[in-house]
Amino acid sequence: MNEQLSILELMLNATLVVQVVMAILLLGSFISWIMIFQRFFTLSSIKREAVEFENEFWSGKDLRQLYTELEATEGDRIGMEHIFSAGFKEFSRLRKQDGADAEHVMQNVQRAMRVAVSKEEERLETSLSFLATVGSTSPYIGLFGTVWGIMNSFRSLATVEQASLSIVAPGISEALIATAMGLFAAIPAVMAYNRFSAQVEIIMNRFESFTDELSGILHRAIHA
Amino acid sequence: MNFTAPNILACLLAAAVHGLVVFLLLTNWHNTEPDTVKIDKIYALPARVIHENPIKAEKKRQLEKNQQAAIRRQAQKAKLQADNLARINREQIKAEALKKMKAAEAAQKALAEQQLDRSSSVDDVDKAQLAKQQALKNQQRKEWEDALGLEIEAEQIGIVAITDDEKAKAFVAQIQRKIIQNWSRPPSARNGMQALLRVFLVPTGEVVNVTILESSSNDAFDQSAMLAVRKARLFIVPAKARQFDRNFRQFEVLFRPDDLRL
Repeated sequence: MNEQLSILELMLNATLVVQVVMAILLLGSFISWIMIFQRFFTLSSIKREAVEFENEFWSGKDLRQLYTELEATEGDRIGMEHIFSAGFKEFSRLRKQDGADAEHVMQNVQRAMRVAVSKEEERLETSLSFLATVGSTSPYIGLFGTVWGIMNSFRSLATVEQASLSIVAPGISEALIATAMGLFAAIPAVMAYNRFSAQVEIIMNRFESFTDELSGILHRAIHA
Repeated sequence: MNFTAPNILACLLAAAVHGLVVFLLLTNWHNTEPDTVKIDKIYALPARVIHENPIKAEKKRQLEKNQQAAIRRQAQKAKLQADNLARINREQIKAEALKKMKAAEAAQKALAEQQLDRSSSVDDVDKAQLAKQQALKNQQRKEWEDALGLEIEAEQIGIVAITDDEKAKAFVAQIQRKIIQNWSRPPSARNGMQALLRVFLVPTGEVVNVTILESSSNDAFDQSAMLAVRKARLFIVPAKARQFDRNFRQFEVLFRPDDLRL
């Protein structure tokens, strides 16, 4: 014990259990921050692309032309483009077959779009469950480390003849670091989870209303 | 997870967040360095190390004693002579005065009696006044002494001061006194040596640790200084947590052979 107990030193001198707990929490925190940034980028890009696509869709362009343009572009179609292309592909394929029942066509188109929407939802919600897990369990993990550390420091106190504060203080301080780390991991994770799930909800609503609008348009086209 | 640009960026940002937190923790951004207390008045124990040869010193003392005795003897002789002279003179004067007095006695007797009466009454008044003055003086002195005693007592428990700064000084003085009391300077201590110690306290005033910041390059001296603090064991410190944290959680003590200052 020299001038000041540095936190790093405390962590390095901690008991194995507490160190493992700290390592788990550090890892959890690190991964959850990666997820937070990744989700942030993904969600904002999906939102932006949805707005752009809706603008294009409602600009009065021919839907067939829009579809061929989308097919021509490289890479994965995500978000609204995916839903649109899935629905329109089904529609144009069924229209080519003669004698297809209009009702049957519409059902198939809607089914295709529903599948696309649920795939998009899956894409939006990846790693949100991880954030929720980190947010809810890491305080408990930290608490476990703290309880363990305090337990040990009191046990070491029992064997000492002259009990003094300086014997238990480092142990308790070291143990409390675990709780601090747990909270450090949990707080951003919970906040990010709440924010992202709200955003996902908004985006999903948008997708669903787009699906309805598209099927309405296709329905009109089929009965025209 | 595939390694696309946003994913890598997310990893880097997460690493940056954790790096920032670790950096802040390591650089002690919440500044735990103790503030130093400035003390104008120093309670110093004026003790000096004297190098003396015991035999020589004994001789010197004897010599001084002899000299003083000689001076005293001479003075006695002179006094005796002067006394003798004075006695002879006085006897002559007395004889003359006796004649004169006898002549004057009869004439002055009546007058003298009157004067005697008056002077005795004056004496009484003087005496009464003197007694009064004495009593007043005594009282004043007593009051003064009481005040001083109270002040010293108050200083010891650190309640006489009004401002925080003064309070801190009172506590510092008390700590210094306690350390001085427990310090026994080693024989190898020399003037000019100094050891700077850092003392760590807990809020109850108990010493939890002592470290040497600057050694005096004399082990015995360093050890004696550390022992002084350890033996003091318990200091009276401010009850207010903030004040304690600022000045007394850690403080530095400078040990010098001739005095001790905080």
